[in-house]
Amino acid sequence: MKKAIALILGLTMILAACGCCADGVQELIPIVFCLDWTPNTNHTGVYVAKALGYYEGAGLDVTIVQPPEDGAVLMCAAGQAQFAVDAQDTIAPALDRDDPLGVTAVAAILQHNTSGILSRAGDGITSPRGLEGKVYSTWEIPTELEMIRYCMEKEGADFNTVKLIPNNLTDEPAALRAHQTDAVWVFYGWSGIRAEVSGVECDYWDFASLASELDYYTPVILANNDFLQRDPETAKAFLKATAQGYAYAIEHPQEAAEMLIAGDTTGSLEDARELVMASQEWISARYRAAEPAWGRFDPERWNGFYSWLYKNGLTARDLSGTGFSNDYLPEE
Amino acid sequence: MKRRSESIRDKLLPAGAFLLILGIWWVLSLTGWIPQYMLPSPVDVVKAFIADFPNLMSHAWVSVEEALIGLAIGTALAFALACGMDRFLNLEKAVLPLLVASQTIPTIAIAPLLVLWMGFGVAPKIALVVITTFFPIAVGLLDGFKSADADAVALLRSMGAKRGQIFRHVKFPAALPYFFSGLRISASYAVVGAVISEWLGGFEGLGVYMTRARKAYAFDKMFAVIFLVVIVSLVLMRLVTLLRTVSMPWMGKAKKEREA
Repeated sequence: MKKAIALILGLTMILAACGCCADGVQELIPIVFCLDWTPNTNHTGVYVAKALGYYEGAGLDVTIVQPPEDGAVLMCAAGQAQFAVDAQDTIAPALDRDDPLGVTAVAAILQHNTSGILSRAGDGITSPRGLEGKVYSTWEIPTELEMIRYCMEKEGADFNTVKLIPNNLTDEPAALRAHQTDAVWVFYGWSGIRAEVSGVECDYWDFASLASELDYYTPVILANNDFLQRDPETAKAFLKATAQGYAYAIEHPQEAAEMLIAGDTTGSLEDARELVMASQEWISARYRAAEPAWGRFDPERWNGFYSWLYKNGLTARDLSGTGFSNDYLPEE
Repeated sequence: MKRRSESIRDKLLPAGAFLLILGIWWVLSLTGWIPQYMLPSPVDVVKAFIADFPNLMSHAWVSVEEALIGLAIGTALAFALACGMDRFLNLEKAVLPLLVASQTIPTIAIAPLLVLWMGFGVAPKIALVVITTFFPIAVGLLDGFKSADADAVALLRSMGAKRGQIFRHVKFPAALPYFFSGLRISASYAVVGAVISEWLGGFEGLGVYMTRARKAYAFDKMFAVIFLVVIVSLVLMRLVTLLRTVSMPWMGKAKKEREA
């Protein structure tokens, strides 16, 4: 008898507890955010928005995942992730198809293309002309090689004299110091800063300052098209919270970098604290650059790059006007 | 007569299963139920295969060359080591555990290291093929030597046979079936090993082609390469079976007699 009473009491308590939960807490909408690579300072705003509860406040439960190699766009197109990180140049082949992959760039993480060519100081690769007769580590992406050829020819230099070797480098400054290569494409906010931090004397030139048509958007946040159509409000809520995360990272680089390191489940950043901090200081000033708001695309600049791709035979279709949208960003 | 119809049935069954799967695949992609980027239609794959045939062949040739050279070196090394281990028990005790452990190293982790040590040429690719093909043959051979009829060995020894003679007349023939089983497994690994190593730095080969196709979101080409790798591996395995029949005619005969 006593046992039965205890059992009934216990059950009532459990039921009561459940009822209280269901009433008190709103159901969060699960969102999967797929990175383009291991966590780095490009992603800081997302980690901040998660750490400071901006997502939860917007009714979202955001999970950050890493893609299989080159797989972020596919994960997003397949609906395995609602959002993913990629770049305007690398999604071009995904859009240049009879049945384009169903993704749209909905926010620019950085306003400008901050990539360029890093080389050892003293080798004279301070401009595209300097690459003549030097060894360049390439990913063998047609767009990559065409951009270098274009910049060299602008200066009257001969691209065919460049010796190409495969790029399988992970630490570019160290590889330059060890003479594994003479020149390599880097994103300054990470590898350029790494050269500074590790004291490797380097030269650097970037594409955006040589040709405005090469000042495309990299990296960007992509969204799945079906998801955007089905649930635009959730997409907007996510981008609003993300914009808040980046706004915080712009104001407070050091605190934001700490949140990135703490949120990085791979643990790879903990060992590179100095680099993360220096990179964050550099990149925080460039998320929004001189624009009034974070994330917005300038259609002219987006289209300028895509028509450059088309003119140079890198896409079969003129992709101008496709692949991006400012509609899901918070109002200015 | 009966056996003939059986053998026809044995060939028809797998062919039928293959066609059935192909049909389901085709219908799935035709109805658009599975988008093209997840599974391109078989027609697209065949078209990509034909359109890019010369390019595919030149890359395939590089991979096959790496696979064959690697397989040859792997076989030679495995043969030498297995003989050594059979001859000197202490060598076996010392080396066999290391050999087994070496097989648990993930290839994907050591491939970039091999490139770092040996450069971007064919050397690191061949090295990786050697590493992956070496083990099944070495272990197979070692088991084969051990399987030699102990009575036959004792008989030869009592007749004053030297170690080399025992090896030649008893142990080696006994080990041959084991050797060919190992070689068949290794042959199926060889091409895949070459392709994996090409993923991680190189200018030619099916692995490089695959990486380019992936970056360009050319899924029909991706699948065309997958099929090519399968076909090449199957041909290689078939060659091993042929080699086995040629070098051990008595096995084929024995099998037929048993069946009759």
